Amino acid sequence: MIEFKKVTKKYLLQSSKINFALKNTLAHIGAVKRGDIENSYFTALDNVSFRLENGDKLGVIGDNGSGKTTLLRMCAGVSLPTSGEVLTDMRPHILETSFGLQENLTARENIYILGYLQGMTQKYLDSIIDDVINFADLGVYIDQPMKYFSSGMHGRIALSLARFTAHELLLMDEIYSRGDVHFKEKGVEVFENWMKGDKTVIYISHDLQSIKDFCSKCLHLEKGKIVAFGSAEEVVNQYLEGRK
Amino acid sequence: MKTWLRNVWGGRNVIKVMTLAGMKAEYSHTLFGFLWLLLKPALMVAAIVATFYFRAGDIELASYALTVAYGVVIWNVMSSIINQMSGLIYSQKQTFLKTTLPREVISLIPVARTGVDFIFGFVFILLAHIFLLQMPSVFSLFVLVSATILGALVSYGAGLIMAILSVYFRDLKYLVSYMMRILFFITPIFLLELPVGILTKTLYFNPFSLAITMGRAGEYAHSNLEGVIFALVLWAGSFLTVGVWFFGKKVYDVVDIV
Repeated sequence: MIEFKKVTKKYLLQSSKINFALKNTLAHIGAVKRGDIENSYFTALDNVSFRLENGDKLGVIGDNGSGKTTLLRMCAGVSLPTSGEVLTDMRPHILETSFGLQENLTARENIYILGYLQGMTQKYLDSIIDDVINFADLGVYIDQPMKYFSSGMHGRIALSLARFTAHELLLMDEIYSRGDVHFKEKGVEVFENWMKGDKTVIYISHDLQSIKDFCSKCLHLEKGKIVAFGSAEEVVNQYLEGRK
Repeated sequence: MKTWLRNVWGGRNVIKVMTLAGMKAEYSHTLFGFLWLLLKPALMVAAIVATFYFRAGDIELASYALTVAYGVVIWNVMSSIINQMSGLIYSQKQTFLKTTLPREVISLIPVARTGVDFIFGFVFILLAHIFLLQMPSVFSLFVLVSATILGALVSYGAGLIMAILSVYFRDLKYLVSYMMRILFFITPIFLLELPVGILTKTLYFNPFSLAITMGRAGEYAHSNLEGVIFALVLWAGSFLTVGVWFFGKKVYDVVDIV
């Protein structure tokens, strides 16, 4: 289960960090009104509430800057709400292209780093490393530094490792379609298996057809607010209607 | 503290590989590569010995050269941790944003990196002892390691606070750099003790001085060693407690705004 209870997330604006620190200090001593500090923030998520049960597949749609990535980070617990609560009893696995990759280390070492960062143990990684390498089709490049790899290759590594995750919650930011034609087919196959399996998946995408095809639920965000939450078919259709 | 230690133990592999990644990045495209890990402390000890010990068999100068080497090693550990920690949130932003591990794990990467340098520095101090025909006592080595660990804890605690504050106040980076220079001059790295006068009174207020004074106890005993150790433990405990608490409370906020 994962539940958002009236979650609001505000980010401090870059240009006003020092002003904020000064204003905050002044507010503490009562020289400035607390309300003045509100102008220094950008609201990424605004009073968002929804609940997913184990095994649900949620597609998240919305324009750029609507709060989708913030929502994903909160599901993973790497970002905390400014107010409200995110409750979950599942271990998350975040799937992103540039996830913690260290350019000076080899692909093999990066697989270990990715695994460690996701909470996998060395013993488990030792047991799956050959399968991950084979699936990623890295061949002789496995012991080359990552700086010589394209972004498509980075995506392959992240996806290949995620294929072996034992975590119950999978958080994806449109990654499965990375790579060349051959690997894309593999990626789609992995993606379809996840969507048919019993893991809970939260999937950010602009590919509305794949959300309709594979997700049981859909969340439409705009400017940090929920526009619609319900069955994928209905929410996507409603979203498309709004575009016309 | 128990939870903190459990989290750190759980993330030991991340600390290991990220430390390795940092070293690879630092030494990539250099002629000697990882050999610099050996060359840096070797050259430092060689420079100290060459500067202060130029007459073979002069026991007093040999002792002095070793005392300076002890001071430099401890200073390097403490200042390196503080310098790296003050830019931690910026240098490790992507890792902070994308790991599901507790964030204190990431904060220990600079400490581990400095620890590797210390191990090599320690080996070369042993070699210097042999070269100068002054075999160290077990006590000398024990206090050197203990003082360095306590000094590292002070720096880590202070570094945790600076890591957070430097996000709100970028100027802190420059202030830290000046503060370290001032500390360098009021810390007895090249002197056996602080000269009499106002600087003597700063001893108990400067953890760098305390760590160096304690670390040299086997080579040059201070008149109030117990007081020095007590003060250093107090500094380490205080900075660590406040640092861990402050970092835990604020790290999520600052990573969001970097």
